[in-house]
Amino acid sequence: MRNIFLLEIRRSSLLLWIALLSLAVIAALFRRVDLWADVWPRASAEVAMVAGYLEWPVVAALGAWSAQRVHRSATDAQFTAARPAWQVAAVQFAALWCLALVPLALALLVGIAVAWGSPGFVWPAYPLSAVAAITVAAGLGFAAGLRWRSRLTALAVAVVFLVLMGLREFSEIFSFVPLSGPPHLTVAAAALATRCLMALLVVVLAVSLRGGGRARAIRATAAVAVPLSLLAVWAAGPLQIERAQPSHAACARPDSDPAPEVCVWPENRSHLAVATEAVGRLVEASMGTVPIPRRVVDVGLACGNGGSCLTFTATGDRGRVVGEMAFWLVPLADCEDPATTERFRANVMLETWLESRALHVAKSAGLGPQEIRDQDRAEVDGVLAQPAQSQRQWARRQARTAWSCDER
Amino acid sequence: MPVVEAEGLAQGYGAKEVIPEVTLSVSVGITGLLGPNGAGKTTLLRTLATVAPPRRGRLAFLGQELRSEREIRKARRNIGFLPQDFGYFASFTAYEFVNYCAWLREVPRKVRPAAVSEALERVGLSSRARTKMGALSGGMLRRAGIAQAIVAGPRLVLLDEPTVGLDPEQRLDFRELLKSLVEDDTAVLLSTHLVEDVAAVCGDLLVLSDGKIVFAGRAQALENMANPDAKGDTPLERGYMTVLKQVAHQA
Repeated sequence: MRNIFLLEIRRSSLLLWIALLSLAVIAALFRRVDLWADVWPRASAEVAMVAGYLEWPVVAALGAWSAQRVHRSATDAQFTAARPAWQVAAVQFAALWCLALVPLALALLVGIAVAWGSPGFVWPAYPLSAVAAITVAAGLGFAAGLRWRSRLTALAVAVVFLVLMGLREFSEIFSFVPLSGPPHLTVAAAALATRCLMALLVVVLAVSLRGGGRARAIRATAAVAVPLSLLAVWAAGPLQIERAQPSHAACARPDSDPAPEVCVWPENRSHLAVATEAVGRLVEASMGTVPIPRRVVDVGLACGNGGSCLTFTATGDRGRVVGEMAFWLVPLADCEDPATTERFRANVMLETWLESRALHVAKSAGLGPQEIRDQDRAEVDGVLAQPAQSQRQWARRQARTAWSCDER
Repeated sequence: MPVVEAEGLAQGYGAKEVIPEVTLSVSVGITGLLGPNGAGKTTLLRTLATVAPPRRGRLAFLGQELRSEREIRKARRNIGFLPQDFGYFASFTAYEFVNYCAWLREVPRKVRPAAVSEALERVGLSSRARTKMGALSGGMLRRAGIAQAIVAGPRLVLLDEPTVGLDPEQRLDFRELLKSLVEDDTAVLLSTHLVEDVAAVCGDLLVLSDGKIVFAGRAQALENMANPDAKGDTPLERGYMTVLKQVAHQA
């Protein structure tokens, strides 16, 4: 059977498609390389997300196309053979499945090569979730191809899978692959197990779709079990859950006064220097006009004693980190009255000013919230050109306005 | 003992009953199945090959009635079938294709390479074993089709219009191949509308018309039935045309 399996792979009509799909997956992987390059959970999730989403509709269509080969090539009569139909389907499906996993495997190799040297290694649950997703797509597509002989089946299957991906609620409840892999999240074992179980049952259904005797009983059982497994996926809850606190977070302090403790997840250790530098810049840029918390922690990390902390998402992009921290350092006042617009304007200008100073730029173009008005941006740019003392006075006025109803 | 027997066999597609009732038996040797277009030859062969289960009637192979899935699969190991619309995978080489068909017929792994090579040699395709099926000529494809039909050493070979697309020399080679099959204790049922093919190799004949066997016997007996005024260049052709005319007259 091994020889026939290898023959199926070597002579597969899907080889070109798989090669193109592999290129697309790798290209997509590099599009967001700065977001995952040196953090293993992010890299692992990115590989799963890119391969899973890109492959889902394509592999489903290829599965249908592959299953129709016998009918398409008019070899039905030759395939009515002594060997049980399920064995023939199993070998054909195994070849399809192995080929469908090639883009994922290549993406994983690329991910490993790029993230190599960072603390840790691949989080296997993420690629495993992609394997389950690809298996479900291949299995359902294969089953559809066996069930419906129309040449449009492959196209219809691809469209159905694309529609399912576009349905937000379906994607949220039945998501097979994560959208990202921040270190504070991990794959829930129960969610992964139910998805793997569903994938297995879909394969059993697809392979037993032809043939009588025992295959008929297996087919009937699988036809009931697959919808039940979908219910189990729903019952198991979201794919990702909060991770337990690490025994030792990676922490540092900037050379500033004050010098809040900056902590990130161990997996984000390579981003600690950027985060620490960002905090130091913001402390200096604020010139005491905005309160600086005692701790600045990576998202998902506990604030620790005291509770006064700022949460941010650690990345290697200094501008992004400074922008996010500035946003949280200048929060909207928790009040509603007729002066809200003025408060909002002051808040937005203050945040833009702080971010611009922290990034050592003379003009605020492209910085701050999108909601900032042109005249307010012009005012900020004018302030940035003034001496430090004037800037401090201006910032204090904005802070008083922005938080006038707050008791901070 | 007959290799395959059918009794009261009925077959059809949807509402159309192509074969209302057929009773026949095929023994070792080459049996020709003659009939005009639409007589039901292809349907009959597909039914005997167990590709399509019969609607009614009894089908037995080597004395064993085929009822259960298991019995049918067991019989299929000993049936080689070359369909009229012979399909193939264009990306496979001739060797790979015949090898795949041998696997489908459960030829044991250890003997499969030798069986495939022998089948290709018998049809004269050894030199083209590494050629892709899509690159073979029409005649070579037919030979590859015959190779896949005989690769498992079947006791029954069903050939549906096997000489279509073959040039005269290839047809002569094909007849020699058919004769060599009989030496292996094989029953061959050859469906064709070319009477000269039948005359050259078949000892027994079946004539099918409108899904019914209207003649079953030796080729000589069919020749003896020939009306001198009937159409045809040979006594066998005239005998065949006479039988068909009688059936039409009775209808």
